[in-house]
Amino acid sequence: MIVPFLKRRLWLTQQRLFSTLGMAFLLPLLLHVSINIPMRQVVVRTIRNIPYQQWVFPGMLMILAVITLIPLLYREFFDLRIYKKGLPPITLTPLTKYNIIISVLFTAILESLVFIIFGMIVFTIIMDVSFVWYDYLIMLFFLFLSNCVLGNLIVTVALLTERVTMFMILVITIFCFLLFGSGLLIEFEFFPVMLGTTLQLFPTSMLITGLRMLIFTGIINWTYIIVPCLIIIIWTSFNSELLRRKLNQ
Amino acid sequence: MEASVTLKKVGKLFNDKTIIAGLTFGVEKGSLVAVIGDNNAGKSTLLKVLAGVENPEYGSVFINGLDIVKRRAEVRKMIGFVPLESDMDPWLTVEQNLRFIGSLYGEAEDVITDRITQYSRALKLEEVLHVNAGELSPGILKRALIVRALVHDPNVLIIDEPTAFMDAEANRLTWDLLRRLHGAKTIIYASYSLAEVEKAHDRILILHAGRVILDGSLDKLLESTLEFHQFQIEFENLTDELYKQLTTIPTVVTPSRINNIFHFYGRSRKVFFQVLERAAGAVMKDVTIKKLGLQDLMDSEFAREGLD
Repeated sequence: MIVPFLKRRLWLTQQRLFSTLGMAFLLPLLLHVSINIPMRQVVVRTIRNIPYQQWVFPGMLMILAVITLIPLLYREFFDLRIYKKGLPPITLTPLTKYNIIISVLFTAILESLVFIIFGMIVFTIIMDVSFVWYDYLIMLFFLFLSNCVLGNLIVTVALLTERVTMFMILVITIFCFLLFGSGLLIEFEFFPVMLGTTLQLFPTSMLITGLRMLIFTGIINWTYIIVPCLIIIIWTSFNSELLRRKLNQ
Repeated sequence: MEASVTLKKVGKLFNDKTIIAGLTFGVEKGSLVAVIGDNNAGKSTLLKVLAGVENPEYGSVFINGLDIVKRRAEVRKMIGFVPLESDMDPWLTVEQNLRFIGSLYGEAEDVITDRITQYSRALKLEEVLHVNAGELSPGILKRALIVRALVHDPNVLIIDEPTAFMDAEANRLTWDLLRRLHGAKTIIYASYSLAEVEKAHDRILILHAGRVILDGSLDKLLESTLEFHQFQIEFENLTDELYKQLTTIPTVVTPSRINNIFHFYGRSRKVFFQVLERAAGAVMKDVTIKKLGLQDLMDSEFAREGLD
């Protein structure tokens, strides 16, 4: 089911291999220059006395993940749907809408994870961080889950909007929220208590908090893993129903 | 004959406007059915409903006895759909598009390769297989869409305008292929080209405002609505008395006159001789006899009002 979608992404990537590779290295560099360098002048160590560079590392990767996910899912569920290219023949195959959502999501997430691995390499070289090898694996696991959440969010927006301007407005708003309101760059302790607690309930906030808790303290908080997993399952089903209704099939 | 496609009171609405109004008919296995009608008659919508692109608001569609909505996964494998305009991924090559869709139907790579080779050769598409779909003309893409619809070997082929955007050669190649498939596959197509429909059909469905107003082979339709022949006789002087005499001949249908030209329809050429006999003595300048075609049928009031 997923293999044809993976092959298709590979074909698409092959057509613009050099620009993709260039992007894979350039994007983390740009993020480092525009976000990390100025932020580390403001925050040297976190409230829990973790070096900011070390603390922000997973957050930077999550930003990278969302930046790479948006165009992939925009193409599949907005562009190709609105312009009736590519998506209609897929929906006429025996695949269920759930299969289509899962396949496209998984493919996009996998491609995003490749970008994340490149990002890990670049960030590790240019940032002042020290992680052991299994920290990277833990990060990949959590980033996979956060990609599932973010991917579903982008799919919902792409399916609900009919105009590119509305899609852009929503996506930019979500991106700003993720950047500043979900603990990627700024600790929740900087927000008023009520707001900080509320923001921590967002699934990606749970995942980034759970990830940092595990790699910086060694404590596994299962709530921060199980709740997002349940949300992912429900959200994927919701998106497949949304796709079915949009296509009237 | 076994029914391949069956519609039971199928209806489709768009913003409370009826696009298809409770259609009920069956299509025999292996037959070639043409759907014609005016703009907004509901042809494309009917094909989309048959192909499962859109669900009907009410009623049921059965493909080889299976409900298209309830047995979706099984039915999908039986249908190949060619839309009016290309819906191929513009950033993939034609071959990649074909391979991708073929593999989603669960076809093996070598089987897909064989079918792509076979059908792209039949439609002379080999040279463009490695070109991105976004760079090709609509006529070439239309042929590629036909190959795509056949890549999983469906037994029902639904085509919206089979030769749209095509040049003469592509048109010929497409019909050669469709004629070869005729019999082995049920083919339902919509077309604006009445000449094309006259040449290729077992049955014609004429749609008007979402209803089938005429249904049958061309000869049957012409026989049951208009008469078979259209006659025109130009007299040197068509007097009122002569015109009256001619209109009283029982086999003369829908007589009319324009100055000295007498125009009428008749079921057979025999009618013409009856008119000649009655008009003996009057000087005739010109005579035209024409067997009616689909265009005449569409132009006639019958096509608008149906047989009711």
